[in-house]
Amino acid sequence: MPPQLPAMILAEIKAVFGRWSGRGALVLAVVVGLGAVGFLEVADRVADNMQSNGTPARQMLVTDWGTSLAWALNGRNFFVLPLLLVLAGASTLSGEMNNNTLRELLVRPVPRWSVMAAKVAALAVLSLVTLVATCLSALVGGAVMFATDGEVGPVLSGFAMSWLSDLGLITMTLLVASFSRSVGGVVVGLALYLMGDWLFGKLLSLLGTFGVEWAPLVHDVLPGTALQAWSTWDAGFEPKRVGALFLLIAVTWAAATWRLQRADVP
Amino acid sequence: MNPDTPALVTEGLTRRFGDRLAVDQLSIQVQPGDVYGFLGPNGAGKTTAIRCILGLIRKDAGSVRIFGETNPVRQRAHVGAMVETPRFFDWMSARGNLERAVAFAGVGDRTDIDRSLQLVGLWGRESEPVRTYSLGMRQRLGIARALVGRPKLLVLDEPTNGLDPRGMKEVRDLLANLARTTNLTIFISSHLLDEIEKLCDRVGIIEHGRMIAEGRVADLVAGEAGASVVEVASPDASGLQVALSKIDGVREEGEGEGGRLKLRIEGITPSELNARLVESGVPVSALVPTERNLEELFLSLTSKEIT
Repeated sequence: MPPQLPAMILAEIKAVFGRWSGRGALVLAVVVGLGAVGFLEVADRVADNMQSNGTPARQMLVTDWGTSLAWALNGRNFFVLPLLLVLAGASTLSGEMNNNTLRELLVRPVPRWSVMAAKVAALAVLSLVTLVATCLSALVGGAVMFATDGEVGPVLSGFAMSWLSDLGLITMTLLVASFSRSVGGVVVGLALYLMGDWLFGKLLSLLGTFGVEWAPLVHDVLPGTALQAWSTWDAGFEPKRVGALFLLIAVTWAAATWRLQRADVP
Repeated sequence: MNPDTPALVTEGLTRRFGDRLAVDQLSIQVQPGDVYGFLGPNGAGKTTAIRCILGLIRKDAGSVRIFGETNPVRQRAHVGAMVETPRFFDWMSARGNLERAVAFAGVGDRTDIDRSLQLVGLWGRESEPVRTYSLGMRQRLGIARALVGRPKLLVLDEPTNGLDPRGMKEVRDLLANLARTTNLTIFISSHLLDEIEKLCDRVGIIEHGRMIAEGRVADLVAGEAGASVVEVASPDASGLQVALSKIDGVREEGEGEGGRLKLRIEGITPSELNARLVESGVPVSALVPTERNLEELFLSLTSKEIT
């Protein structure tokens, strides 16, 4: 391991937070945390006048500290923040390959795997900081609005699992980025893959209803399903999904590193 | 490390893109302290060779040794490089970009950054974002970045590419200063033959990926031992041609200045040539010994125009 790896990681963290995708993710993370509390407060005010399938909304709505944190978790993992993480990941590899700043790193006395490791670590820090920002802003906002009633422990474990899910998304992004010099190409490539993964998952579910025994097993370990491992925080995490997530991180990280090792960098 | 260990040695370096041989069995030797000019027409394979040397692209065959090191990572500990137009994080300051370079280099500190900035004349502007820099300043910052890892070998690929005359002069003066004041080995590829001739001790000229001439600038310009170039004029042009065809060691090299005939002579001095022509009854109105320069050598060795 190169002795300068910690310094490399710090330099990459500076770069990740210096880009608009990193700064935007941080701002959005706080907005999502406070926004979740605000939405819950608004829902609380209108709940008495609303119904859902004939059931009064008030009966379905729990307005407490734990619920506001759960809303923040769901909001944080809904589309925009993961997209910003993908953009940050694509910029750090494809973007740097495209504008030739990656070349300046690779002429330094460091093995390429360590460059990839520094980038993964920096993106993992970005993910962690956004999760902490969302979590803290929702905890503080929720405490102010709803006092500290309601259990937050399981939701916090959801935040922790989200970090692992983000890591899977990051390493998948870097793998796609190792094939493309365009940030847009990475986003489109990853979106197409996840769409295909989702459709395949639907097909497997359908096969499951027809009694094909292996179909649900495969469905549970698909990358797209593994990335959703955080979403079962209230019912307990499924070991198969978590295992698949670890496998996804390991395989995509290794494959992205292998690609960078072999790549000609102009 | 043995002080005589060559700074850079490539042996049989080869890189192919599909059917095209970009670098073909290229062998280079650069001694410590040399300022080595790496010349060739556009598309000759200079940049590809430099990228192979730096490990940016894979080589198909051959070897590279830098100060005796064969391990690519350890090799790069000795090297500071600027490949083509240097690129930066434009939103970051010059200092920020250099700090990033130091982090990846694993050696160097604030003092090295300060010294590099002073050396390239960017001291005082280091806090400004790079997006405010002119092309010449970026080029100098690229050289500063190549210097921050305390390299022993500086590899510069077309460091004056795209610069206006003022920018070219800035970079030329900077390189001359580096060559004069440091004991760095400098490997520089350029099209600016006049500047290479002034800066470099040794040059290698490549074409179609192959080395076609390598040696000390003075030796290459002088050509083979004893050879020199003269320009001769006579009112009897046809008689001059006939007389010259009878003298051994004389080869025409085209037209010289003022319509004079340019000759490459070997084994015969200019005064002996004059005497032989007069003996043959040819009136000689002018016989001017001239010095070949690197550009003439380059043009005579390569088939392409300099662009």
